[in-house]
Amino acid sequence: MRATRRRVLSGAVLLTMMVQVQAAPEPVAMGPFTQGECLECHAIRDPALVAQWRAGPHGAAADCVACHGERHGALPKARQDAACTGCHDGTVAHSYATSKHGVLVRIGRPDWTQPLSRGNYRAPGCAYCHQHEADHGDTMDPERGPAVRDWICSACHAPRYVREQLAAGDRLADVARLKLAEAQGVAARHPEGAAAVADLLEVAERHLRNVRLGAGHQSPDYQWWHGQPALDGDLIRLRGAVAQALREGAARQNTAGPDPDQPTAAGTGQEP
Amino acid sequence: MSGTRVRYVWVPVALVLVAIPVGFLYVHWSKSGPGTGLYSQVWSPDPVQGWWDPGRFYIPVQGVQGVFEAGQCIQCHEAITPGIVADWRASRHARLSNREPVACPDCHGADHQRLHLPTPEVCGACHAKQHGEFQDEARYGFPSHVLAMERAVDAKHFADKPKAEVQACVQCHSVATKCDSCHTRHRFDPAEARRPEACITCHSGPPHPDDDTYFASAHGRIVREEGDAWDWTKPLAKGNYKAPSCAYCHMDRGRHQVADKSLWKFGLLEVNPNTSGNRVLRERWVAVCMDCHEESQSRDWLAGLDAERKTAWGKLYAAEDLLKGLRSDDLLHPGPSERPPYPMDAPDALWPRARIGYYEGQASAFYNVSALERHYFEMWYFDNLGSYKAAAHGDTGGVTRGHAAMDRALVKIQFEAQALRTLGEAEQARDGQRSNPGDLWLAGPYTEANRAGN
Repeated sequence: MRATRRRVLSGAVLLTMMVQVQAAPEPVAMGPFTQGECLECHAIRDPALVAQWRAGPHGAAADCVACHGERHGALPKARQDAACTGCHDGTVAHSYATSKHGVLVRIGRPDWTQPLSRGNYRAPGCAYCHQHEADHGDTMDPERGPAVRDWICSACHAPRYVREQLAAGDRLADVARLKLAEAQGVAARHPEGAAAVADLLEVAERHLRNVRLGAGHQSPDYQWWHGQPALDGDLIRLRGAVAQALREGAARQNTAGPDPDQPTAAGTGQEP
Repeated sequence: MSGTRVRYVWVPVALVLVAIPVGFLYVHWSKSGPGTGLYSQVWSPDPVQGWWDPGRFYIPVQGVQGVFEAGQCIQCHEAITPGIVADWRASRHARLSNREPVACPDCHGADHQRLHLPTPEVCGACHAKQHGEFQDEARYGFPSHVLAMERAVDAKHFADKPKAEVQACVQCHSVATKCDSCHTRHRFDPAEARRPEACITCHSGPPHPDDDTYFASAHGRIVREEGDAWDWTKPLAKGNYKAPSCAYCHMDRGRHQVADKSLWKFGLLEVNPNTSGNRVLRERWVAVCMDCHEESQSRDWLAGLDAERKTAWGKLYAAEDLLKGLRSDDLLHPGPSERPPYPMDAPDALWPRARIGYYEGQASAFYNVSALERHYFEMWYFDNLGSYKAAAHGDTGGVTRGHAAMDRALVKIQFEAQALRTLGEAEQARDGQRSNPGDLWLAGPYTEANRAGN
């Protein structure tokens, strides 16, 4: 009898324990985890998220640990700009850091425990726009279309303002693209071909990128000083290099034996 | 008195009497075009200019009709734009101790089809002292905040270039036409505006690396290290801050005349720092420095800045002389007649000439010029201005780098000037025929689009 009672009691205790174990959240170890261990669970728990990460720009470049660290509970850390700027440094980080958004995030002490959703942040950090609503691709990828940008920006800005500012950014980049096309046209006129001024063209491409970063990150400094007038300077230097080469070529031709029918100027044969 | 003599009097008098009203009418006409400023007749604003210069160009949205009270505004906008409603709720405007909150209609108006974005005048209706000081800054001339938009649109390159391109300019120059450049909407927090970060969105980049030079200085390093823990709600007064932010020195005691100590004028031109007027400005600087430092040390630092400027101008004038020499001998390549005319200058088409230095307007001659002029522009506008900022902010490394860059630029200009001379003289000796760049400077999709747009 006693034995039976003991058995029932211990059974009841065991049952209670089991119920308790089932009712409590599944115990999760804090880590550290390797990338493989992350995927072991999360490929089952969040398959959509993992698929998004694989297909997105980070799929080949950065694993879970790169942004989230090796331990659980690091979500607020992964949302912060510092999680991104370790890799995305240089002009990308600087164009954002000098924007009003970047400044407000830097000095505003945001509550990073908040999800990256509309209205939760006074100013957007990197992830607020690029990983909006825990997007594990790039929310700002142009292929996602303008509607998603309009939606994200208009959490704080009037819808028409957002549309007009984004359109203005496109126009600004179009102007810069015209300058790059002009630069390529000028380079093609180099007597030894555009390859002779490839370094100058490369700088111009970088300055075009600055304009786009400035427009995207709303940094007037990148739109202008690191962008448009810098491209103007590239055009001048390219023209200077081409003019110099043409002129020296013409001078050499003339020393070899001047041809009275050939214009001495520039070798282009065109009147000003 | 003979008739001839009388004519000597009344003809000039009559001419003056005609010329004065004609001049006024001309200026009035030139400012009354679709744009704004002296060249307003020749340009129309880009669609986004209304947000940068709302007093002149903002067009209210017509999609929503009705006259609303604050509660109704908030009810809708909590869903449409939750971020700004949350921001406003956290602002002082939303919780004033002595009166009703300053809410949406107070600044924007109540009729949705006639909404406006607040200009400084709107803010000034309550913040009269700050607005008055801000307006008063005009008497210190440019560079200053209050004249920033005027000077941007009156720049010849602004009127000349595609308006989509120069939108980049007015974003910062809008500091003259609205208050939220520093007091970010919709919190308008003075504690935020007191921090140096509030300034760096505009005060950064090659011609005014205020951010880099300040944060590299002893002042900036202290603020960078410790500033996050400081109480920035304290006024900008002696004893309140361990190290000065931008505003502590440039807006001491919270005054909104930022340019009231503008002595060296950004390093743009050479100034005599010891004129009677500038001695008054020096005393203002010394007074600010003396919040923390000894008087003699403050004066020494200012003298150090004078010396740096003198050295810099020695280098700049050496380069200007070389350029002017080439210009006199018609050796700049391309010559002024072989490139697009100087912007917004009708006589330039008849009388083309290269612009060298501040007084000839080289600040607008940074495109379509010869490589040598551009080298000097960068030496003057980037290396020199950067060096000035470094010297003024106490960034010794920046001064060294700036001067090294100026030295390199000068050597490059000397070298290329000599090459131009040699080549030009050889052409002269050969057949007297000057090398002609053809349409190299005149053709290309950007240059052509810009010309078509004007």
